[in-house]
Amino acid sequence: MIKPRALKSKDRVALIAPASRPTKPSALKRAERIVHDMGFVPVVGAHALDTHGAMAGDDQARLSDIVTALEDDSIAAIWCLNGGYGSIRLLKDLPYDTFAKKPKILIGCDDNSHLLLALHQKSKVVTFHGSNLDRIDSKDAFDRFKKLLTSVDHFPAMQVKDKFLSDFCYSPVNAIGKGRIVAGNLTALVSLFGTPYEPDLSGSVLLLEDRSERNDILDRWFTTLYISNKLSTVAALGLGQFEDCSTKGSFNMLSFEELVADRVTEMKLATCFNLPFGQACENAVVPLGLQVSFNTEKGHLAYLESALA
Amino acid sequence: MNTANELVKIQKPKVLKKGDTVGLIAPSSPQFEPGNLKFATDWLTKMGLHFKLGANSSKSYSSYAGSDSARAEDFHTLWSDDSITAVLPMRGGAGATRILPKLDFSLFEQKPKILVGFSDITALLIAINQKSNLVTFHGPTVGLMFETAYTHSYYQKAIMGISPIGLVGDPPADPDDLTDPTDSNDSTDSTLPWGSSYPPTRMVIAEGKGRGRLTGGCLTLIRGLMGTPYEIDCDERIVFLEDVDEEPHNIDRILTQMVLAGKFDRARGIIIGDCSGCKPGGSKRNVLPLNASLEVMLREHFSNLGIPVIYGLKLGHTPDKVTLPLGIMASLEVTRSSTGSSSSSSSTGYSDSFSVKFNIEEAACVDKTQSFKK
Repeated sequence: MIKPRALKSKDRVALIAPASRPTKPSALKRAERIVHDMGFVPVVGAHALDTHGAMAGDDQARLSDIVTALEDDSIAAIWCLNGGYGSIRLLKDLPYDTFAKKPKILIGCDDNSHLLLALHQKSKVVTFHGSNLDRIDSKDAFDRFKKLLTSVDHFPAMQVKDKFLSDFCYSPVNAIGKGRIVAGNLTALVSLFGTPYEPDLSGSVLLLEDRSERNDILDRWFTTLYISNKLSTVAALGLGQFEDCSTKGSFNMLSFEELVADRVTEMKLATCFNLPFGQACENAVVPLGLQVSFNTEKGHLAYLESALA
Repeated sequence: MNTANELVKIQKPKVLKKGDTVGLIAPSSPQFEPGNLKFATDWLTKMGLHFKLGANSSKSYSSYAGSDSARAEDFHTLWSDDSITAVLPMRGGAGATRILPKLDFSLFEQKPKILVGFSDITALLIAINQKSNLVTFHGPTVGLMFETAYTHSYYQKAIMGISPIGLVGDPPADPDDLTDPTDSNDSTDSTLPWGSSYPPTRMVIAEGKGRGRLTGGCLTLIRGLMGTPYEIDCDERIVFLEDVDEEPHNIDRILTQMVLAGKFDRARGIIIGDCSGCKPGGSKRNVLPLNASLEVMLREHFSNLGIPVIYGLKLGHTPDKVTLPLGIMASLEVTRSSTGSSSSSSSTGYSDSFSVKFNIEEAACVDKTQSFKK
């Protein structure tokens, strides 16, 4: 597993929009300011504010921004501005060899999960599932992200937390799973199935999250994971935050938790819910590819190696 | 043209006749209301058919019609019943994909029967077509087969006849369309009828000629089978695709996934149905600002594949729908018509300067089933 180097003060950080564009100019200015205040030099992609339907420019424009950032030796990290839709359209043309030769921090989530999963799978580089810049909105997160990205220490363990019951964790199957961590957006993960960019889930500790989706659609994609026979090869499963996911008008439906629990119980797959893994900035930054140990009964996931060199 | 495509022996089910018995199942979601069933069975009676109802068909679990085991059990029980000619899902919804690992695909191969449905039923149609080597039918569920005369006539042609369905026609223009009588002398073939809707039934995305067995269905379901043992095989096939109430970018994500998986590399033609409600905001969730239309995305993906591609055929979530047999030979010919002297002629595919012929060449049912020994 190739690990990118940790950031230093004054490092240049590319801000790009591989999916949709920032919703307004101030969103871009704000992102620049955040990165600047962390002590880095923001370098905005030339096409970040382009439009092509819901995307930040056509495929060539968006591709050019990410390729430029990947190839430029003076760029130490790439931080996605926001999600939306469009990053899957770039996968066939990404410079996977370049990324393996010139590893650098790539961080983002939501639709950019396609990029993180594909670049991790094809280039064997650790990529980082963490808030897009438009979701960084607290001093705590600002400090934490800055510390994580600039240190070669092990990332802190993830711990399920209830607002009131500090040691509460719902785990339908209690066990300890060990393996490489693969973390992603459920919709994005399933979108790579059957393609050359499909992540290898065998033996992995798999973390899933999603946003603004209907429970029955989440169950569709979870069903795909199940009938693909890939879920049965996973060492442990962690369900993160399913922000703004609900029945959305389809009322005669059980919770997504129950539909997942039915399956994992039958499979005896170590699983727990409500991990602090998702798109909002209070969630953990998860480096794909690291060896972890995941105790589902305690909702505790510890990294067995460092993420950055 | 004699390729592997032609050499595959695919089984055709026995044709459905008056006096036959059909089995009614709910492999996905339950009936909305008890009256829906009565509506459908009254039509079956009118068609001279008897019916047997799956024992679990009125059960419920989450948004599914009973547990996965209960739904699979009904499917197996009715399919095993030698007095039943056709197994007809009453409704789609959600849940058919969940029962796939529980299905006995050898049963469907050993006892070929008619299976008709769309939307969520797509999962069963593709899986059984490919794993049991049996013709399956993308058409109305039993609760919708009487929605329009067009729908019903193709339903009957497909499963109650042993002649090829032949050239697929369009639904009749709005019967309430009364062209201005003062203008009648000037009316030409190219005049659009009042109330004509977008997209037209055969908007041209790409010209060309292709011939192959049919496959396809609802994109959300096709996507759900990607990377699984039931993944759609589009090689040397004419592929039909549709969906309902999805954001254009969600459809684009599925199409991009299929492109990355090479699903259209060896396809012979693509027919995109009238994807009703697939416009920005149509899903009422996951809405993105500035989203492009589905047509823009279709042109980006499908304009230069070198195979014929059309958009707008009524084949899915619209009251009018043609019944399409998966596994049956068909051809799609999209050519510039020789009479294309119209001044509006352009390459956009909006004008009437194209001739589009979609021909289902082979009968989908047989009088007596023959078994092909492997």
